Parts: sequence; structure tokens; C-alpha cells
Amino acid sequence: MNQLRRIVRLKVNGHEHEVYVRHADTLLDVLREELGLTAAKRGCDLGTCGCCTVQIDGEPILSCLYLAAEAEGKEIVTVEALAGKERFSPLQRAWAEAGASQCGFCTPGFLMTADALLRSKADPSRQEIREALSGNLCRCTGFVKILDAVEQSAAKHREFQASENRSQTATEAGN
Amino acid sequence: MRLPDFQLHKPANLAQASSLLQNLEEGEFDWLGGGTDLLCNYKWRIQNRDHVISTRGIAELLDSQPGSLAAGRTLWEIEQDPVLAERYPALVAAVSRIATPVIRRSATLGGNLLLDTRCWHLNQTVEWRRAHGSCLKAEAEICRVMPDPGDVCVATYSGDLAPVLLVYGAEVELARPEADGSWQSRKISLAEFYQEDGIRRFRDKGAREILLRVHLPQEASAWTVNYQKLRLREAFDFPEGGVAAGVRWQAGRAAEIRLATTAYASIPELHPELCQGFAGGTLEESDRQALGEALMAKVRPMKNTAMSPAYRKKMAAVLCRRALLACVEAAPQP
Repeated sequence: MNQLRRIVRLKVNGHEHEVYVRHADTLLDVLREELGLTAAKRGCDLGTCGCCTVQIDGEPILSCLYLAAEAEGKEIVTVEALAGKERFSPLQRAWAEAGASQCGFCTPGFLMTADALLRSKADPSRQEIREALSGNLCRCTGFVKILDAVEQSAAKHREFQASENRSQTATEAGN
Repeated sequence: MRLPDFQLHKPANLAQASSLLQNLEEGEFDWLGGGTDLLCNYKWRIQNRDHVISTRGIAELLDSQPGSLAAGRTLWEIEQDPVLAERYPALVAAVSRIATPVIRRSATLGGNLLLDTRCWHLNQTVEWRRAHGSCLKAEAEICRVMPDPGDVCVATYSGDLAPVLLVYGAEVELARPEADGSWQSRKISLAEFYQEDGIRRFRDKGAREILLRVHLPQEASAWTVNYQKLRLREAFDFPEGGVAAGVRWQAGRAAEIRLATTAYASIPELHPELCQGFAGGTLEESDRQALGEALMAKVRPMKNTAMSPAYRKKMAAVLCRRALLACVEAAPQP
């Protein structure tokens, strides 16, 4: 076997994959070129733009600076799986409604970072959203609609949670 | 950009790393922490190695002990640690201003302290460097920043944590493998760790030596410390200048003062001689002004980063005054 290549087992979006890659291949190389998952984008390729952001064990990570061989044994999620079985996740829907995408190249990276933020904090302030997204660059929208989208998604999630709680309380009272 | 080929090794502990090192020559391998700087350099074809040893899985590098920080901890973990935030607020504040939250998820404490020096003439694509004639640290035999005499690399050290840790009086613990496979560790003061040479960078750290931990002295938490950073954008960018100030207050007076800088030379530096005349005082505005001017007079930024050396030099005084003022405002009530 070539000493510079190896078999790597990756769990991406819940599916196990076995790929024969170079030791020096980044996770982004493998996602896009071996697994055909092209949502994560190759922008600057140097960690500056955030277009390649995926989630590894729930944390947003730059896949252009993360070796595929180091991602073995970890849960990798790309934007292809963000909506689960639905067509769009609530965050993606908020993105569309707020007009937060123009050319769309940066959108997958933003979504993965914003999704990680909302998972860790359901009610982030505008400033917290700005800070969390400060590693993602958009060259079209001017960021305002992106911040709006995250806020709207968080608000909808809170409304949903509140209505769930109300129904649960009503059910318990009825019992 | 594809990374150049190398063989990746993933030791799970120092014993496995020691076995690996027995078959590798110095200059043949690099340690890989978070990869947020090294892999960029590799993509630019800067000092590529045939072997890369990942430290991500080395258990000993993740093992923080009381009074020390494990070198393998990510910056994000440090930033989120409430105990550290209470004991060393300036360290946590400095961490939170490094690069971006996504980069901090991967980047490590050790990686930041060992950050390679940077320069306009170096951190470019290989095609750019070839067209330009390259530089001393890459393919050429002359420094483009100081071509006369041109035999010393003046690339800039841009780590944010070193000046803060210098002010706290930190020590670093290094470990090197012995012939029998065991590891010998030693502690040295961070102030004596770096060497003013953009290529050598460290006084006597061997390639096989690994940074295990950073030790903070017991009295570190008694210091009031503040770090001020100059950069182009409030996210992403390396410092164009950075000043950390620390004061140990005693009955309302500055019993001890420390100043340290980053991004003004090839090393982070402590400036004890500047502070001597001010110990025992109350750091009035005139004192802060004088200290800022003394620091500005001392630093010698090179023309090798985005901002002009003249501006960076002027800003050394401003950053110093701001950091000292923050220390005064945060002084404990006598």
C-alpha cells in the first residue's frame, strides 16, 4: 500500500463511509471529491472565509484545515443533512424568508455555524450572533439579513417551544 | 489548494510518539496541533515536511493540572472555562480575541505559543514568492525586509497569548524523548523561551521536544492584567501590534508593573527596564503617558505586515496607555 494513502472511515450525516485517501487530504477534499457532498464550499481554502464550515461532534469546524484522517470516529454533519427528513430546516426556511442568500456560496458555512449556535443557545442576542458568525464572510448581503434570519429562526423556535409547553400543561391539567 | 503529500501519524500518547520519533530525523517532521496555521503554511509550500505528527490525540497534552494549562487544549475550551475566566480574566479575554470562533474550535494553546513567525514576503503562494525572488525563510538566501545585511530573518511573531502569559509570569514545560523511550521534562520561563530570529524562533527547543503545559505561578491571579490589540478587522486578523500590561497592586499602589509586547518583533518581549521607575506609584495619567512613550521609543516594527511601521509604532504608546488605564480602573480597592 502507498505509504502516503490510507483507508479512512468517516461517519458523515449518519452514514458510514470507507474511503481510500491521501494522508494530506483535508476533510473538505474528501467530502467534495470522494463523497460527492458539495455543499461545503472551497472558498479561500485557508480558514479565512468560513465557506467550508461543517459540524464535527456538534461544533462548527473549518473542513479546509482539518485532515480527513483526523475526523475518524467523529460525527460529521454537512448542510445536506441539516433538514433531516424535511426539505428545509427552520433555520433554512428563515434564511429564505429573510432573503439572507444572494449568490449562496457562503450560505452552507453560515448555516452550519448558525445551527451550532442555536443548538448551544436558543436565545442569542444580536451581538452574540454577530460574534458567532464572525468567522464567516459574505460578499453579497452585507450581513444584516443574515443576522435577521438567525434572530427570526431563534424566535420561531422559542414560539414553537412555548406552544409545546402550553399544550403539555393543558394535557397535564386535563389528566 | 491541495496540501503537499506527507505521512500523518496519530499517536495516542507520548510513549507512541517516542517510538515514532526513533525513526524520524530532525527536520523531517512537524508537530500538528489544531492545524489552523501550519496547514496554511503547507498549502503555501512553506517548509513542508514528509511526516506530520498530530498532537490532537496525545493524552498527556490534554491533561491540565492545578495551576497549569495543557498545551493541547483548544482556545475555545479555554474561553469557555469559568474557573480560568475568574482567575485569569485577561488570558480568557485575549483568547476570545484570537482569529474567529470557528478557528478557535480547532486552534490550541500550544499552537498559539509556538506560532510561526509571519511576513509579507513569506506568507504568500509559492508562485508569488518565486515571481518576487522569495525570502530568507523560504527559498532565497536574503531577507527582503532588511536586505542589508539580509542574513537574519525579521519575520514578525504574532501570537496573542504570549504577552499576556509573560505578564502573568508563566513557565512552559517541555518534554523530550530519551533513548529508552521515556520522556524527560523541564520547565523554563516563557521570558527565556523565544529567540529573536524569525527562523530559529526558540533558544534551545529541539525539534523532538514537545510543549506539554503552561504553568501559571500561584500569585498570577493577584495581578491585574489587560491586553490591547491592534488589527485591521475586529475578527480574523493577527495583531499588528499587541501590548499586555500587568500591575500587582498593594495598598492602592503599583507594587510591580510589567509590560509585554507582541507583533513588534520576531519574539514576544517583556520590557522590565521601562517599568522600573514607576513601581510604588499610583500610575497617574502622566505616568501612563511616559510609559507609553518609552515603549513607543523602544519597539522597532518592520515593514512586513499590513500596517505601516510608523503607525504601528505610534500605536504602541496608545495600546500601552489603554492597557495601563484598564489596570488602574480594575485595581482592587485598598
